[in-house]
Amino acid sequence: MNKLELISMSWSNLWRTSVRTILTTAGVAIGTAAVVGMVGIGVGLQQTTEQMLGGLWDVNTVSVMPKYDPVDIAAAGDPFMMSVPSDIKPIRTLDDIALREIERIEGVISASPSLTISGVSLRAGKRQINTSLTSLKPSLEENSEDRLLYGRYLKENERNALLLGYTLFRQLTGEIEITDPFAQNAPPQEISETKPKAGLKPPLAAVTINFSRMNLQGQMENKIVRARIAGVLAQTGGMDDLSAFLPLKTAQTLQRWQLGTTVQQQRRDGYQLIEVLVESTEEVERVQQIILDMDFNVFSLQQILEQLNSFFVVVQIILAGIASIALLVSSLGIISAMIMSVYERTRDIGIMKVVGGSLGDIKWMFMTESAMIGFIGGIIGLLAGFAIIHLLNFVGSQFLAPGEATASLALLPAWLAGGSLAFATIVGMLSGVYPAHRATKISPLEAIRRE
Amino acid sequence: MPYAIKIDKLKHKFVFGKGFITVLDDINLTLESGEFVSLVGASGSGKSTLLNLIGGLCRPTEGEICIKGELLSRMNENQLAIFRRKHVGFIFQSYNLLPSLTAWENVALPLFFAGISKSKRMVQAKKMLEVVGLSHRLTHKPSELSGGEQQRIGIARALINEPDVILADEPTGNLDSVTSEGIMELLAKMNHEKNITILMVTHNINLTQNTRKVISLKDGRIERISDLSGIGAYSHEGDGFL
Repeated sequence: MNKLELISMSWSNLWRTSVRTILTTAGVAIGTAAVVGMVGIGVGLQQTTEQMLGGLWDVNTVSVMPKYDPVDIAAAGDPFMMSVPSDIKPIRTLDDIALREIERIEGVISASPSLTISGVSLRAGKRQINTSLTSLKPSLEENSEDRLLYGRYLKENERNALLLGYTLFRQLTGEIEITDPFAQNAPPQEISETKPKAGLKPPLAAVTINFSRMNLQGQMENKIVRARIAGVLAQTGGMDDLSAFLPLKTAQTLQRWQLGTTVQQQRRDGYQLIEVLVESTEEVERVQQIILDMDFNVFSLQQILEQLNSFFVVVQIILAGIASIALLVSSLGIISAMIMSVYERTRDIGIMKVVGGSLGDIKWMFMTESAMIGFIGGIIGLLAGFAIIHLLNFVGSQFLAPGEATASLALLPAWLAGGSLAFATIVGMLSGVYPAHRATKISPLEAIRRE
Repeated sequence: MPYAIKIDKLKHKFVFGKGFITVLDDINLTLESGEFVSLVGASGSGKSTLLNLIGGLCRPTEGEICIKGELLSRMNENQLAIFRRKHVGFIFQSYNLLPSLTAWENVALPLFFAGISKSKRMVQAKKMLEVVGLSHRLTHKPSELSGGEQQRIGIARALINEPDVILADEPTGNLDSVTSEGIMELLAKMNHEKNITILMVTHNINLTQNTRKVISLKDGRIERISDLSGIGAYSHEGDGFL
């Protein structure tokens, strides 16, 4: 028996009892729509979370930190390892030798130490912001001009120059309230201003930086420097918006001043953080493992995402499980409809057997019919689920701030569409197993005697 | 001459309440290829049961049925279906057409199960409907046709896969005498032209005149086999039903 003809025959058989077919198909459609909608929300949540985290950290960046012997730290009386006392030495110093070793790992684009200078305040006119300065991150050293809103990147040994984050810059110019760090109420028209204007001089040319330190006598000392604003970064939505960057060498000099140490001491202590930029997201895990084997601690967005992913997989399985109940209930509908259909067509089945229809032919005829109910219901459910997801996103977008409107509440990825359609079809087909089995048990003789 | 049907020590019982009813007892019979045989007997004599056993629609309690060298008892239900598809055509008193299919599709149904492509089987079915004189009724549903026409479709369906044996269970039982005559002529023609062995259960004594052999059953046993091929020589013997 030809499979394609089987399908066309099942199709016409189904429409002989059109009301019943429509009702059972509707059951499958509701079940499929529930699966698509629920899992779609799970997927949407996952992606929104990933996007948010991706804004905070670079996906391709691995942060390397020195690793400490937990015994040493416990001995220092900090079982939670919240802070590392300065007299504890790491297992391996994160120094220039380590830096070069990391740079040589295959897949690493760049590795650069990251220093954070705290106790800094920036002042422009009457506005003053307490902040910290970060030595330039590798991901900012790529010469991609489209990340700049104004000006240029910093030169390696440039002194008295800063690269400012979007929000920080706007706060200094007075366009954004200083008390409003995430700029959620930034007027919408500002978004159009985030178009790159690289090369143009920033509207604010310079700021006054006030560095402070505690001297050995326990007194505050201040150092005031006038710095150019070399460039302003375009809005990222992440931490970079609030940061101010300076070249590494300058940062090191400032650190020595703040800690009162010498170049030799600084070299011996090594770095507290090295930011490694990896070629691609796929390489992150491998590079991370190599660095771990070098006896350093690592942190990456990838790590968090992996943990989050396994959490979201569980969430999605639970959502799919709940929604599947609707699909399983609809399968009961298919089963009873098919049993009725077998009963009504007992005589037909008998005749088919008499004229040479094999058990397989009869079985596949009914299984194809129920699989078709599943498939058609699946398609309708998929369309309904698609509509539900769009509706959710539309409603959701009404409650989100304009800047966040890109985030989706729910999503319909291809695997979900394909998977739910396949699931509906399989549920339909399996629902046909028992009725089809009953059909094969019909005695041809008994059947044709029925009038 | 090679035999078409060979039946050996056939016995068939039905379970009835706590006991049995012996429907067929010690049937031994050999039909040669191309024979046209009537099966007669009173109601309950086991005619239809014998026909169904030969067609593999049910299984005998004891004994063997062999058709074209194939032993039915050795086949499972699936093999029986394929065997019917290849070797046996059924014609029923109540036609047993599929009401949802057209005349054309009903005739082509055995070919559908044989896996023959749609275009091929439609050509064959059309030819067969021409043979039975119904080429103008291709797209009619059984409910739109007269009894005689429906039976012609039944015959066309029985013939389409060129069976060796046709088993007809009172093919004219629901038809008037004029229509019956036409059906009998058609069967005789098929028997003659295609050398198909036909075994026909009938109540109508007149119809046995078309056949060359008459087997009469009584209480599940073969009472008599009369050979009429000798130009009606036996018709004057007065064997009770002529």
